[in-house]
Amino acid sequence: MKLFDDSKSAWVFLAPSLVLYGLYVLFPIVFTFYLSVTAWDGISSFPLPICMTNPETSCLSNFKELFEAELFWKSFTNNLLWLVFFGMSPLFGLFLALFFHVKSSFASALKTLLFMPMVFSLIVVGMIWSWFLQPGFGLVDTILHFFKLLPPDQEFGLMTRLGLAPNAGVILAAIWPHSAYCMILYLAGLSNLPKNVFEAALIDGANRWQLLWHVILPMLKPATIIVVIVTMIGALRAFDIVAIMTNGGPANSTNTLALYMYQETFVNFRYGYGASIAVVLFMISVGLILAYLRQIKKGDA
Amino acid sequence: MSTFKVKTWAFILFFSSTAHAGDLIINSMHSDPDVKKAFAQLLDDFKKENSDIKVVLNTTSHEAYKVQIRTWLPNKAPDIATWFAGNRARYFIDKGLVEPIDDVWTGIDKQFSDSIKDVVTFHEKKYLMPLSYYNWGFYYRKDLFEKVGVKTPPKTWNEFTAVIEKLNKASVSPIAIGIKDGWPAAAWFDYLNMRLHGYKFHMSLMAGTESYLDPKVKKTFEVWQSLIKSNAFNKSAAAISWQEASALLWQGKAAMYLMGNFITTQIPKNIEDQIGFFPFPTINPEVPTAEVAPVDVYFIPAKAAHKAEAKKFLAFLAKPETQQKFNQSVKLMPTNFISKTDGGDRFLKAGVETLSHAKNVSQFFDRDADPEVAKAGMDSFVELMARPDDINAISKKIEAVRLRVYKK
Repeated sequence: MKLFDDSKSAWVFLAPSLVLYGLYVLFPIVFTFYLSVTAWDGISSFPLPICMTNPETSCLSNFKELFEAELFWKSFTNNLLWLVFFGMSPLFGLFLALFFHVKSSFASALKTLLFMPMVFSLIVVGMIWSWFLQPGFGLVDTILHFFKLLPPDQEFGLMTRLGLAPNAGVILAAIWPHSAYCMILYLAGLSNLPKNVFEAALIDGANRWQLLWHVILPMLKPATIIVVIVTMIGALRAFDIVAIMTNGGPANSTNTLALYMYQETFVNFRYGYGASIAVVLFMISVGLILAYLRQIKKGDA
Repeated sequence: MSTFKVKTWAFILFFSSTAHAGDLIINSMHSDPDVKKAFAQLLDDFKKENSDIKVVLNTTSHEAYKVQIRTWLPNKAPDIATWFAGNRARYFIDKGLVEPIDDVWTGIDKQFSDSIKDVVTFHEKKYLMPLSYYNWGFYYRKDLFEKVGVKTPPKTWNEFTAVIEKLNKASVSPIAIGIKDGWPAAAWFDYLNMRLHGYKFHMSLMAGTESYLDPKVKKTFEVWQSLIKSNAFNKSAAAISWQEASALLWQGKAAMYLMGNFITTQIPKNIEDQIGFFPFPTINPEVPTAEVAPVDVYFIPAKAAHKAEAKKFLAFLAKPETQQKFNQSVKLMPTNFISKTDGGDRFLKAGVETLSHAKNVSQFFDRDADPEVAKAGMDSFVELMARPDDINAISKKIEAVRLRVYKK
């Protein structure tokens, strides 16, 4: 005789993780959605929705303000730049993985070197790159001065400019460790591929490009899905490296949605408005990832 | 709602040890090793005089403290909290979260200058007890000044711009500044605005009752703009931090630096003799002098459990001996003017001298202004320094935030 039927015992075993998941994932998400319709300052007693405390305003007034804010669109544009350019790191990762997928101690040593930035904390990566790009005495300026590509009394000053330009420095810094990460994921994918398929393809007369395009890449698809999703999330939640390199500056030129959310919440103490940015960011992320997964599924069918 | 309350309480219970009558719980944000050590010494001295009071000290890092104070102050507060003066204090006072301490101040108010008393008074009541403050001004390279033939530091605006011109001709970057984090630019706004239009106008602007579209503010921006356009500042400003900018001064790549006195603890030993100090020059001689001098204060939360003990502690904090001993070890200035400032430190001496001429002291842009306006302001100042073209657009941006914040 069974003590529990299967579904009951399943619930018992699931309970601890469900409780933790509920407390640390579901509750904060639901609570953030709620906060986004309040004007909480983090200090007054528990917040009521804006439209209840002030019947003349809409409950969605945080979102109205957000979509009218110049800073929101600036940060959104920068996130798009991240999606496009940071989104190239899977390509670099794939290239490196294909290049280093050979058995030699020299290749292993190089692989380890390439993987190094992945081991560094992003804070360290950010500091290294902001020193590289330091106007006047950074590595980039020193090299440009040495090869006389820049007059000695001038500075390259990529990071002192307003507008889109300084994003290049920040995204470049982020691509460095992330490409290494993509490389590792692809290397793992490559080592799982059955060798005999390659041999069969070569015997059938496929050249190297055909082998890559028609055999290797399709078989790497599971790895690609992971890599692309991780990269999309990385681009959308861009925060730490921006905070350490520019703190969103000069004058918000490199601000991202995640950093904007942090600043509104913990610098300006507008918890409600900050939550509305979080909600928008959440929607964009979920929407993009769902769209991508659907596209993948369509391809499979 | 209940979940949230429970979480808040759990947090508070976790961070505050059990309190009995005769206890004194102090929450402090002074986590810097030197200051922490000096404050521990101060507490020891307090315990010697008050052996019946058990003192519990909770120290949190600056940034965490600023966020956490909003959780514990309205709920279960300590008996003493460290904080900033200015708008940051007014914010809590206006919400009724701070205990007035006029009784502690009776009898001792003659030991404090009017400018300090002005800082601790809100709605005609005194709420704060100051312990230390520090001055702002120019730290400069004597050797570079000499090289271009400047004998004495500039006192007036004309002298100041003349020095800039001479330095520029000698290919020395006149003024170092690093505004990656925004706030060092705000010191320029504070000083230019106060020197041009006086403390009263500046503080009304900070309090949100004056407009950023006022022609006076425009004038401030214009003076600043002409400085930027005359190549007074290093071009790398927007990409470097205030520490990296101070390196320009230490390396002799820039000749002057507008900073707080805390910078003097970082002067490299080998060039110590080359660094001098002069106060921000006068622009309009008819405007009474005001200086930027942020004050560190202590207050009793309205929800404190042991107010009698807390008042004893604040009275102890105000004493000239206490202030002298503490500030000598942390190289700050005592706010009680009976206390002596460390005689051996020429920068502190210069600071005391500078502040003795000041009719008023302001607390710095991001402590005097509402946090949102301050953020918008500092972003705009960085924009001005990076692209000194459109003053109107910059003023309009700050004004839009001011209007939104103060209509609430």
